[in-house]
Amino acid sequence: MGLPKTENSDYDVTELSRKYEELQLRVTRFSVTEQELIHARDRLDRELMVYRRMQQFNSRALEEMKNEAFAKLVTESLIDIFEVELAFVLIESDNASITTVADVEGFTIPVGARAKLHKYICDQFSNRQEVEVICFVPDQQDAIREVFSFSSVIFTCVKEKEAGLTISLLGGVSSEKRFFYEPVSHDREAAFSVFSQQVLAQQTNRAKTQTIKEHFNALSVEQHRLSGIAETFLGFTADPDSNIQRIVDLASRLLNGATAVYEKRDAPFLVTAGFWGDATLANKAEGKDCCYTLFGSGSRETLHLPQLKPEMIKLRPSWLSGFEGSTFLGSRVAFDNEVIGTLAFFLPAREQMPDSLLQLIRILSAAIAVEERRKNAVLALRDSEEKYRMIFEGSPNGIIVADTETFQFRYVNIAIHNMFGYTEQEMLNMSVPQIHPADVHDLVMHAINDMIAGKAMYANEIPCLRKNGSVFYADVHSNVISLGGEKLIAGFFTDVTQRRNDRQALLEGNSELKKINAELDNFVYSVSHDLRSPLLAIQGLVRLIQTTQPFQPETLAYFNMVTTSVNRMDDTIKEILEYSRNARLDIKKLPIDFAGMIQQVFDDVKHIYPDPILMELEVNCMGPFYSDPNRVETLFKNIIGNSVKYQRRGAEPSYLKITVGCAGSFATIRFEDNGEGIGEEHLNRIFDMFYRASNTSVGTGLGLYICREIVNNLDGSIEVQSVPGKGSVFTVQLRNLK
Amino acid sequence: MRKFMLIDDDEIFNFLNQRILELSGTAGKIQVFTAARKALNWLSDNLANDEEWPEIILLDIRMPGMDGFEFLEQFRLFPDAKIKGVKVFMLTSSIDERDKNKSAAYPFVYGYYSKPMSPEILREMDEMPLKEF
Repeated sequence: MGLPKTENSDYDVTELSRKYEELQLRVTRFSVTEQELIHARDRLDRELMVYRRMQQFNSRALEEMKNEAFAKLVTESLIDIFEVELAFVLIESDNASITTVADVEGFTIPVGARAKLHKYICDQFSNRQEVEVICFVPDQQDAIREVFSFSSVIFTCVKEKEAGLTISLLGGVSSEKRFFYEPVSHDREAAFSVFSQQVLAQQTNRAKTQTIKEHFNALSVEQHRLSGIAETFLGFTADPDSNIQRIVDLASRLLNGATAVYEKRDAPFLVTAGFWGDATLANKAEGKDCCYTLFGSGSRETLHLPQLKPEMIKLRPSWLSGFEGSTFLGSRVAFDNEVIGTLAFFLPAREQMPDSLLQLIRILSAAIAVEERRKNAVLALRDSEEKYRMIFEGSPNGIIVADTETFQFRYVNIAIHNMFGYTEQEMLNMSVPQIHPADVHDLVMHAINDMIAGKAMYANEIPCLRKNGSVFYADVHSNVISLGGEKLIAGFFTDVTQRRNDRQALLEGNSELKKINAELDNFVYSVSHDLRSPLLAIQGLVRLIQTTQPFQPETLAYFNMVTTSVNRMDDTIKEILEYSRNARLDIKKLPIDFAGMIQQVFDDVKHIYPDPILMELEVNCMGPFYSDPNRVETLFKNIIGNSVKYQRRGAEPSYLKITVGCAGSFATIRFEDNGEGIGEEHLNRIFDMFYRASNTSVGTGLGLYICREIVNNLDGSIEVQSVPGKGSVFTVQLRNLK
Repeated sequence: MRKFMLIDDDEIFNFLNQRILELSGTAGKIQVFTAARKALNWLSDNLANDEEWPEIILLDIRMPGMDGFEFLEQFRLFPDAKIKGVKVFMLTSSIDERDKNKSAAYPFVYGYYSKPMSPEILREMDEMPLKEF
């Protein structure tokens, strides 16, 4: 720009002055334009700054953060972007009921005022759909002044119906600080609207993410639980008690470390886990049925008490008192309709208890019931095992249980080790043939096969081979048993070597005795023969002498006396022989011909007394009767002999009536005579050895003794009835020995 | 008149029996042996001697050396014709039933008598008819 030259005089001052003014005007105009340009640039700069900050907010808001942090970010961004003194945001969610408020550091809107403020803001927009942002300077009467003394304020309320979100946003300057801040101007409204939409979008997004995350978390918790359950159940051992402990541990874990207590009924027995509440619970387990009594008399399976009150636990002063105020959650443990205990949880006070949790502890208590049942079964099994082990091991009999196909030994007891001298381990590697001598293998295998087939139950005196090679004898009783689906044979061995030896010795002794008996018998015969020979010679000679010449009657009487004495001695010898024979000889069982035998005996003995005697015989026996003929004959000879010898000299002729009757397995032989008879004082002694009833008798005192001995040997009896001077009746009863 | 053979180790019985036979008047020739062996030898030597072959033999059982039963065992080996004409009677002081039963098994043994012999026994023996066997 050039000014007119001053040395040129022909310049018109007026013209110059006018030009200057014009120039001045133009400069001013230019300057205004320039100012306007600067303003415009500044405004653009600020707009840019606003959007850049909004951009910043957007990117920061995408980061994961809690609602409180987000709200704080919103307020900080709001202050930053809109250059206000303070900001307020309130996010309300329909379903989550989350109210989040943030304001400026060092400055707090009172809690009670927040809801009021939020309501005020949202009310402004409830019926003014066209307006998005309100910006104004509230006067003294404005309702907003009740919350806070704003000098100027800008606010909005945005909603997202689908997400159920309502967000109120406010920025403002207080009356105190109005000099330091530009008042909030309308030109901010557009940006504020954009910002509020962004906050809403961010929050909607965050809510959705949150929901997804919650679902995901729920899933992972569920998975965690399931894996915990699986781990616990997979880790089960044979010991039910340790499994119960595992279940209780698991229960505590699933309830986030709540104290879990398994209390068994009627027993001061607690299984505990978890650490919430009284950690020394296990040491205080003096109470019984504490949790059980909380259930009362009802039959409910589960019980939820949101808060344990003192009156609930005062009836049972026990470890329960350590949980006063906590939430109680219990499930009864039952099997076979009988409650055997309680699984209970104590956890921080909590009103709501989801059904799924109740379901879970019901399952856990069922698992405990299963373990308890198994424990009973295990104990019962152990009991019966113990019982059988005691019988098996304590038996004095040796017991071997062997395979029925390989004959390999499966079980052996202690007694059998002692019997055979092998150790248990040695025996378990052996089989049947190894414990018997080789020469009886066929016999043993035959016997054992019969046993397995059920054809025999025992085998007697089986030779058995000890480890040291010696042999003993055993009676073996067998039993085929089924163990675990396998057919086995149990053999019960009794060592009978001693019995066998004893019997062997007895048999040998017996045969020795028999030999001695036979020798003795021969001896008795020989002696009797040798004794009788000279007697019979005397007898014969006396008779011969009598025939040689006539003697004086007196001499003849002497000869008779000699003969009588000789006969008596001969009788004695014969009777001793009979006695010996009865005592010593075996009983021969042969059919008895009573009629023939009695007739023969009578014919033999009737000569021994000079006077005649009449014998009547009646036999009523059908079928054969068995006894020992020699003994019966001796018996009859003695009784009939007595009737012949002791006849009564009287008017009536002597008689002997013999009747034989058979009934059942007995024969009764009755001998009735009319002889001298026997005095009552003698009756109970006549069967005694060497007892003689009469001084005049020619008897030896052995005859009836032998009779009694014979009937004893033949399983019979002999009785007598007699009246002196009338006669005697002897009744013999004999058993049919067939 | 019967021909008798008496076999007994006891000479008194031999004497006694001989006297009873003599007194009875039924006896013809009477041969007496105190040992069964000697009696058997005589019989063997005289198988052809029908004149002296005995009709009745009185035999004791218990004797030293050959006893009565051993004699019977040898006697039964003689020809049937020689045996059938002889009645053997056991005459013994034994009262052993077994002896009686044992002797009854021989068909040529006609009786079993307890000593001493008497005229009544002799008459029974004499009157007993010969058996067919």
